[in-house]
Amino acid sequence: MEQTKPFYDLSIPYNTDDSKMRALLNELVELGYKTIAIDQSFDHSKKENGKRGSDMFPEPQKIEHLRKEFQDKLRILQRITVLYVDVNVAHAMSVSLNLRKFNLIAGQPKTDAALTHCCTTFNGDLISFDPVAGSRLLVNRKAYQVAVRRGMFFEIKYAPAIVDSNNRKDMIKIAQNYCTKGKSKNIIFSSGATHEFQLRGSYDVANLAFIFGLSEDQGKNAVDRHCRQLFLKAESRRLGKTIMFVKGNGPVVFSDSSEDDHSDEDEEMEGLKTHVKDYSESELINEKNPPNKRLKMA
Amino acid sequence: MAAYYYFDIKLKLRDPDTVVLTPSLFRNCVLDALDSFFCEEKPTMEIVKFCALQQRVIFRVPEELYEMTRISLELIGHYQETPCHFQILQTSKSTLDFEKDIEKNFVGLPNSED
Repeated sequence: MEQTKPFYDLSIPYNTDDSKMRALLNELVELGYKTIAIDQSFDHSKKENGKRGSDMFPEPQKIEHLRKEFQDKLRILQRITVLYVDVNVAHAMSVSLNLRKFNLIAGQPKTDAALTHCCTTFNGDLISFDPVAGSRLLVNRKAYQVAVRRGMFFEIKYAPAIVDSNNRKDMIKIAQNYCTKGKSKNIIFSSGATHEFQLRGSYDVANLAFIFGLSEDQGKNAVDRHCRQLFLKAESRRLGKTIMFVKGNGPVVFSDSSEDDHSDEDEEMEGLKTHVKDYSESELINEKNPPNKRLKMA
Repeated sequence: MAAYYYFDIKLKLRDPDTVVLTPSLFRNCVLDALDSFFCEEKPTMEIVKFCALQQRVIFRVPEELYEMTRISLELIGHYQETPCHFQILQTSKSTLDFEKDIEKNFVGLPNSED
């Protein structure tokens, strides 16, 4: 089984400058994060029309050197965020081989139709939104419920709320919409931070739940349990049918017992027999005089 | 007797040399954030200890302002137009003191001559 440790930050935008990436990752380590995802954006609406045969989606960025460097400190995943406007993306996704190389696939719809598609049929794991574009797109109740049933998660990024007050208002509006339409189910918090000063500690992020309309438990789950569930869902999507090995850590159930133990057990068994005898006798009595009414158990 | 919550804050600034770090400016920064996020005008906030060298602050607020102050601190992204992070190291109902921690760390460190 794939091991991941809390806490999670599943949206760190990829930066070509290695020194900036290192600074971000070091800060994440310092703040206590253990599992992160480096995010690449891909705008499907700006695709080249004549491009056929080759894979439309980009390959994951090469981050092996960062993985090696932070081997013991961080588990680094790779994520792609697909920005799209129409349902044509579904076909392109189904034939893409590059997409399988990413650990997580997020959808970022640009229109209402795309948002409904994202909730109902999108073959990804996560629904994101563009904090800069504002709160034009608000999910409806039915689509939200379908998404939750399909195991999709909704993402709320907190870094844009730190950068700009207008973004903050939009984010609160979107989060409150999640709260009213779907009781804030299946929500995860991630940073979307472009530099290390936009990152916050995991407990602080969980505490932001209060302004986003989530309860205390939902806030904690948004940086821990839900992210783990999202990761497992993504792994199952990537791998398909898999074999699971279950390793027991508990006490041995079937074992050879010594004679002393056996004698003790015999005594216990004899005691049980007498109990059973008494019980069976009482049952017999009851059978002779069956009760007219069913007895209520206390 | 009014109950207070104490905050132990570490100030992380991108360019510490370009900003002026004083207790009153820090206080204004937090109060502005409280005002803009929650419309809390002139709330009580007392700075207990301030060290510009170590970039550490301990201040206290009334108990009813605890949640709002905490969220405001998390959402502060700039100090004098410099990107910053006010990292909350500890919160407590009892008095906090970062100098004791530093002394403890010094005591705990092995002597370099040994």
